[in-house]
Amino acid sequence: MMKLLDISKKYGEITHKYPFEPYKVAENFRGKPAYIYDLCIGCAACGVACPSNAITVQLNENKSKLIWEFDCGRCIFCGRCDEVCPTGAIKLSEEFELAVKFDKSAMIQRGELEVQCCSECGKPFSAKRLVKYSLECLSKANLGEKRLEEAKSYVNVCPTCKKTATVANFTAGKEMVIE
Amino acid sequence: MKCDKFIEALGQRVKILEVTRQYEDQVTALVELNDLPEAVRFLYYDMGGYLSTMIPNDERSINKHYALYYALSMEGGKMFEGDEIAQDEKCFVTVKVLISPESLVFPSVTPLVPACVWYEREAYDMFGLIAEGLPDKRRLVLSDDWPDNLFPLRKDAMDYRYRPDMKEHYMEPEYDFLRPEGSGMIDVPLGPLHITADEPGHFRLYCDGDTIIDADYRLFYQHRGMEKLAENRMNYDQMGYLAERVCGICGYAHAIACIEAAEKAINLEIPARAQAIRIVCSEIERLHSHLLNIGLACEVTGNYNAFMHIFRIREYSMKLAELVTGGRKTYGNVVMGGLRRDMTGHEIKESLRILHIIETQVEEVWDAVMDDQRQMKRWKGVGILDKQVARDFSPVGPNIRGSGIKRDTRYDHPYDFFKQVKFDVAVVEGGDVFAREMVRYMELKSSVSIIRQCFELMPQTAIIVDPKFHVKPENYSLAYVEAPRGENVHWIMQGSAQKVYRWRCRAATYNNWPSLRFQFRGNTIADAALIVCSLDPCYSCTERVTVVDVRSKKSKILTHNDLKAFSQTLKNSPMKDLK
Amino acid sequence: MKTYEVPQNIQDANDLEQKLELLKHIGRSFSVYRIDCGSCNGCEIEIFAAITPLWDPERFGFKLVANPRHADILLCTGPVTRQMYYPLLRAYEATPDPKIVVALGACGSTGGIFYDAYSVLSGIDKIIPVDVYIPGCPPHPASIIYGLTTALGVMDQRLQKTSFEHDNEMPPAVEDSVLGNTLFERDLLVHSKRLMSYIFGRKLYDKYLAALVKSGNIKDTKATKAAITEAMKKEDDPRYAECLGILHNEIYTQYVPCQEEDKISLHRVKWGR
Repeated sequence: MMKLLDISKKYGEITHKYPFEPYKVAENFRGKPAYIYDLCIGCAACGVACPSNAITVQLNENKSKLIWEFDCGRCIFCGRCDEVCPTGAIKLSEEFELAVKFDKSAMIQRGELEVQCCSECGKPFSAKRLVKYSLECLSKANLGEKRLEEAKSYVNVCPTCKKTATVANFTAGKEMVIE
Repeated sequence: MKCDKFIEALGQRVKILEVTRQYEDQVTALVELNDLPEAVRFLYYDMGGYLSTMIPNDERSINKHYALYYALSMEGGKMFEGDEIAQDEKCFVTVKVLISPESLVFPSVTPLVPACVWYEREAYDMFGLIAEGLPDKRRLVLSDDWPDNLFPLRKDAMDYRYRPDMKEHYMEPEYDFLRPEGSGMIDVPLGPLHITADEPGHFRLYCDGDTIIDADYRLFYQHRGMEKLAENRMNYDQMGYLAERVCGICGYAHAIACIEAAEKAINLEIPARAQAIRIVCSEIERLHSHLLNIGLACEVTGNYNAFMHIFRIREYSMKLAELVTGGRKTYGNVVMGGLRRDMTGHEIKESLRILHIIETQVEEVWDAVMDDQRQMKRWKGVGILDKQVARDFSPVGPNIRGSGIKRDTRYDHPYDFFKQVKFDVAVVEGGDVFAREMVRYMELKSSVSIIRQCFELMPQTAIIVDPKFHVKPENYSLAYVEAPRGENVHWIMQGSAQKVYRWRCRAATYNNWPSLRFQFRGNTIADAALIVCSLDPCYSCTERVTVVDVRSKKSKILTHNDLKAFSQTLKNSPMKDLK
Repeated sequence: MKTYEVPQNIQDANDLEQKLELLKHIGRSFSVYRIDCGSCNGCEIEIFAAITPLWDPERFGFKLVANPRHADILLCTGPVTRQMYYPLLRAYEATPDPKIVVALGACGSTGGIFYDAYSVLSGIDKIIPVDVYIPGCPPHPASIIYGLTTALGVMDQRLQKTSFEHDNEMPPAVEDSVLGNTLFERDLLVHSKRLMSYIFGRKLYDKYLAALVKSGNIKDTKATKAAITEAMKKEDDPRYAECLGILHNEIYTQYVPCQEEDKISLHRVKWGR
């Protein structure tokens, strides 16, 4: 018993001053994912990876915009989104002061992206930024002039139309040569 | 090859239809349905096995049958010196049977091997498989208002999101508790809502005066339907995070067990550095879990001072976790094929500094606690787990090691980096609360040394394999990890499309619960909380206790504070004015 | 699916005005009752950590009580499993009005990772009205203290709903490859992530490229070897140093023809003193 009191005396007061003074979490602490709208290309990699489906990437009701939405209340702070994001648009911050009062919608973050419509069928299939980003990447990737020209047309075609076109080409006996 | 010896011996007892090997130390023997009890009993008692897990599985789409897998860890009975299988022969033998979907009946193993009791009750809950001869056929897992005849884990039963209607909230269904025979018994219900950090669970203690004669409990208040969720919504990359949330205290052990089961099913070897860091993180988890439990064991007995000191030290281990994983509780760094967070040199240096603080301060406080005669008196001789009961029910972790049985997965079936790390298995004779807390203290010290050894031997490899592996549908395997509370065993059968076909997760405490009633018997009500606490499932006290004296037909409602005050001071027995 | 409807008398006694009134009055003394509605225990442990001497919330009157009848604030965790639905409602109805309900953790707020499983009801607010949400899985003790002090009005709410709506349709810029072959950068990044995970791997990638560019001529194997060795010597973290070498030996040599002597020898770093 007395020994414990000695230990108390030895270590003195250890209480953190928080919330009256700021508290510093460890470096690389997994806090709230920070979203940088300007870097987002709407590829939905984060939405696919998210184990708790806190991030969703969906078309809005009239299919005019691609909506990226993050619900901080469902987030489990695993950092999968950070890991898979190709452009660094989502990164875990050290932010831990996340409580909200009365209104749950304060936990929601969203971004609207313009959609690209398919040049064949006219249906929206992706974000415009993603299409432009893919072209940009291809242009830096030492492709031949001709391939790049081809790419410019096929990035605007939706996966369903691409599939139909390939099937049509095969059944018509055309050979597809990749140079 | 490993395991062959056991299969040969088993073959002389019962007819083996088929033998398959899953991993170098895991084989499965398919036997006839009627031979099942004898096969499991033979391996359990005659060959020195302990029941690791039992997996019911709906394999109608594969072979038109339901299947049961009884996985036994072959390591020797360990009841006396030398009663142990040689180190290089220890392995897992699984007994498999097929059950036809028309009859759904299988012979119960429980009368021969009591350790199977919960598994067979669960088989009925989740799959509707009926164990013939099972003495206790009550519901185990599903909630009391769950419709009869809906078995959630059957593949064709329902969508994983289906939620049957709730009853009106004042119509809460009652659970049927087993009451021992005899008169003059007092019913003491504890729970399900308790005051401090613990999970909900309902205990019914049957007492004569202050002495507990028997106990029954209704747990699984936290059944969330993870296994079904994993089969439907999750892929392998996401499952680690789900497994981590099986339990908030030893979650990391679940995460590695789950992912390693998937890895073992396809014989995937992960890089040495990833193995080392997995061990480091799981030992950090052991540090904070054991400190938590020792602290609570002090608190339940009224030693608040020691409790506060131990929790102060525990914060260092939390800080350590935050430093190396970025999260205090959920480490979130396991993925199939390795890890997703490395340790830098800077982190290793800082960790070594924190480890030094933990080591010295734990010693100081433990020394002060041991010096306290009153504390020792509250711990010694309470909640004894008899060695034979331990042998019958296959408990795990400090619970069984406190009864003098040397069972530790890290030692019996070394996984990952444990093949290269040296440590002593903490075994204490006695079986009382003191013995279990002593085991935990010894393990704290060995954990610190294991982490140091891992740092010293830290290999210079990558932390994740090249992701060019393929999962193979219908391959299955067991993985085992020694969590702070004992061995966690996960079993995964792989499915197609990056999903599992069946995931069976068996947490350490699942094996520890069934023997609890034997530990309660003969102790006083005041010690009930301490006994539950020393199991380390949760710390138990109550919101409200109804005391009913059957002899005098008087009843009295106690608040939690009354009971807790009584537990801590042993004065003013709540039973006094009932007699 | 039909769940609990809050009875009219409880609703009346719990309107916003009365809650704010309560918060004003309880000031620096409030009793908290904790309900575990089927959480994994992570949140419980963090609440427990938050009441230890390191955080000591009794500084502003936080006191855990043993009975819902004594409580001002209900601290609920977990996604509300079926079996915990009834005890939760019993505790809710037993708490004196007006009561503040706090949903703790991802599960408490929305159901978290379990949000659509069959045996849960997806969060406290699906059953009873919730006033404060504290996200986190589990929340840091500092987050819990922040949440409770926010409820009391000591701290201000930080998080606000944000919505970005004006898309300028400009994708982020793509940088040129240093070797004139983007595959080199791709492999480099993948391998650094494999070596040191995504967090440190990106830093390693930046460090390696910076060192490589410093060499002057990237295709000159002698110059790059010297530059990387130099960078390894300057690096004070041994793990980064050894990984710089590994990257050079395993990736660079694939893209620029190299002799065996152009590889960097890696010595072993000892720890544990």
